[in-house]
Amino acid sequence: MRYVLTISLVALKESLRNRLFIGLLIFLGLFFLFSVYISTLSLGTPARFIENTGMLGISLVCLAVAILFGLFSIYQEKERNELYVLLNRVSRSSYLLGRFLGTTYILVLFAFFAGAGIFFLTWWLGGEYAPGLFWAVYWAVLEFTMLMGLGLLFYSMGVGFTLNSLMVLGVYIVGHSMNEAIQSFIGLGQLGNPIHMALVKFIAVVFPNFDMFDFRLAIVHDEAIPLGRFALSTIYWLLYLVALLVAGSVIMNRKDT
Amino acid sequence: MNQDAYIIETKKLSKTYKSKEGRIEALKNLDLRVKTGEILGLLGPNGAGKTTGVKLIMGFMSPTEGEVIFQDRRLMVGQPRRGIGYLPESFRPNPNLTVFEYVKFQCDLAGDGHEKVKREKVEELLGLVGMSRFPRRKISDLSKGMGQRVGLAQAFAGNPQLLILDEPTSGLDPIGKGEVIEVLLEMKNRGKTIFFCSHILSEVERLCDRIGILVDGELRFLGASQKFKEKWKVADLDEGFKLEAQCATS
Amino acid sequence: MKKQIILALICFLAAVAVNFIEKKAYPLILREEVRIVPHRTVSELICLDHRGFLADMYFIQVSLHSGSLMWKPLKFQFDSPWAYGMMDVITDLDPKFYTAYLFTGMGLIHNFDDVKLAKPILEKGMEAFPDSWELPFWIGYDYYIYLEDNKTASDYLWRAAQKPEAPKHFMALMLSALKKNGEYEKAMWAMKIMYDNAPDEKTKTVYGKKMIQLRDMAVLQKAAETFNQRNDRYPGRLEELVSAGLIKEFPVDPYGQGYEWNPDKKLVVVKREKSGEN
Repeated sequence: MRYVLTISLVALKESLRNRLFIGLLIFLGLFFLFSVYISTLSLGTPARFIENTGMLGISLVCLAVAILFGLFSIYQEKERNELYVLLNRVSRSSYLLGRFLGTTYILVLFAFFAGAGIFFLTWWLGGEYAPGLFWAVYWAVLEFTMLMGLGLLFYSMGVGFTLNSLMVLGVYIVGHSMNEAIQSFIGLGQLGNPIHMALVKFIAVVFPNFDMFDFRLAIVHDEAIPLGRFALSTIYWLLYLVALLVAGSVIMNRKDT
Repeated sequence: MNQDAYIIETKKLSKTYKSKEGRIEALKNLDLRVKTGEILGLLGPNGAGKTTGVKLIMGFMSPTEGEVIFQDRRLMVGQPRRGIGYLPESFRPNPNLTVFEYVKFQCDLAGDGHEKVKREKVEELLGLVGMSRFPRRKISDLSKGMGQRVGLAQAFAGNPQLLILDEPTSGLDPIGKGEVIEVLLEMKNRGKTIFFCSHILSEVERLCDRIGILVDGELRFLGASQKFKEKWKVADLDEGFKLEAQCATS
Repeated sequence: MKKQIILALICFLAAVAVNFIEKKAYPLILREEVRIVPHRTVSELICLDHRGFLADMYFIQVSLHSGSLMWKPLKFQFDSPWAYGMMDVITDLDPKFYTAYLFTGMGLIHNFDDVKLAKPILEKGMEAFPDSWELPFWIGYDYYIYLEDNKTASDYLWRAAQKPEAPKHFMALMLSALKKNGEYEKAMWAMKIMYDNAPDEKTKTVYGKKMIQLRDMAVLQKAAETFNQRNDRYPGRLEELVSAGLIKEFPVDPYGQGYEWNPDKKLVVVKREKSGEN
């Protein structure tokens, strides 16, 4: 565990000093400005517009962190052959977990900063006090740590950075479209083969389902999230993430580096 | 020290790849023994299998056949090599850290003990490689030679008994090379065993107690450089090496 | 180095000047845009669960199109099917987007027929916000003002009036719709609320008289309906109701105008022989 923490803290230090960190902060700032501008076209409901745009900003920033800090840096480490130096000292599982944790720190930092910024803008310009936005931060952290876990799994399989990023993006898009796709497929399935229908249902259950973390409308409308749903989504995240990280470790242990 | 004790040995270590052209035998039945306290240099042309051999020893790859024994223990694939300091080929440390931070990081992973000892140890290591004047310099601001010295410093972290270095002087200017060789000799004086790969014959001859010649994945010679010259009846290691390589291809 | 910077600056300024001249020589021609309503499923797929954000962006498009008629040349028509189609998608994406429903009933009505396009969307809103008085109010208002459909108007205004926090200031409107539709009992109820909330005694007196008038008309209307059920025809004159025994005596109009039967509307109406305080 000590090694995991050591690697994670160095990963955090590395990220904070990376020029990309400043770049993402600037991007976030611009997004705040964009949300303020958009709210002027809201016909008297600026708070809602700032919140919706803000939550999109949180998602985009977290996606950038997951890919640029999470994946890109790990590939760079391999390219510098520094990976071998580290694997000489720690197990592959510890390495993977340490890198994952290090990126999680940065993800939480950015998500929290984005959430706080939007909260402030909503209060100042929208005239609404919206603490629910910090739940958006929570769900974003869950969503994107799971996505990162997936990226690390692909990394452990030996997939290159470009393909890995595209696959992660693809999973992100499909994972957010599961409910809609299922509704469309159900229509097709009823006309077609029962095997096709079973396959579609199987994929819907097995594939990462990011709709589990979608409570955005509830947050905007200040509705309480039922405890049962909250627990179900959090447990789903925990189980799926552990499965991804363990699978990644197993594959990395068996594969030639 | 018992000169006949072996710190590490490989037994029939082999690695075969499958490719479009068929099976490629990158390493064939490598039987190698490194004596405690010696410097053993593994020589070979590009593509001979040196780095493959090193990666197999370090457990980054699984051998098709064979095993690695270190201090009478069989090493498993994927298992961290405690007691072995490693410097890979074309190594570049983390550019976002300072020299001190990076070496301290490696000392932390090598499990050196409490904070105070680590700081002193880091300073000692930096002194050993001639980097004690640059603890706060960012690694991205270092020259290649200085980066390589930081790489050596991290290999020495944890006080390993064996150092495995893959092309440690690669890319360095003559002054840099000379400095690295001096460091390695100093490590030898401290009782460390060094096993390194190179294709620069002059430094091998200067440093090594014994040399191994690897050509097309096969270990063609293992012994003192003088005996190698006698084998090919040459005065120069270079000539002997060329003859050995030609013999392998014919 | 200095020369290169100056050269770069000159080239840049020249390019800006050329751009400016081009815009003057070939001014932008405003063209009718191609507007499509994206399918709800497609919208949900592309938004990647940012439904609220996409709804907001669509909303901005619709409001700009609606508002741009104020400054664009009048040759552009307000595209009702597109605008209302978009509002339908918007409220599907975010069923609790209250402002969108209000805008549908208030700001988006450009043509009289738009009222019929707005109605299903506002009804959707009434399901999402069952306690809202505004949504049924706007349906009623739009039907009253634009389509002069007093029956529909009075239905919805009545529904709005029953909501928990419905204000009283639209009672007059509702009263007018109810009265024109012959719903005198409901109109009397509305009148009673106006009476109870009257600011002063003088207004109270006026409202009191109207209440009496509406009460009389309600009684006469009910009697006329009963007459129709018994005789299979409506009375030719209201006095027939007295002789038929359906009312004891003919009521006296507090304004002195009297009541008569309108055979076309099949309603009891106030006689229009002389102008009154109505």
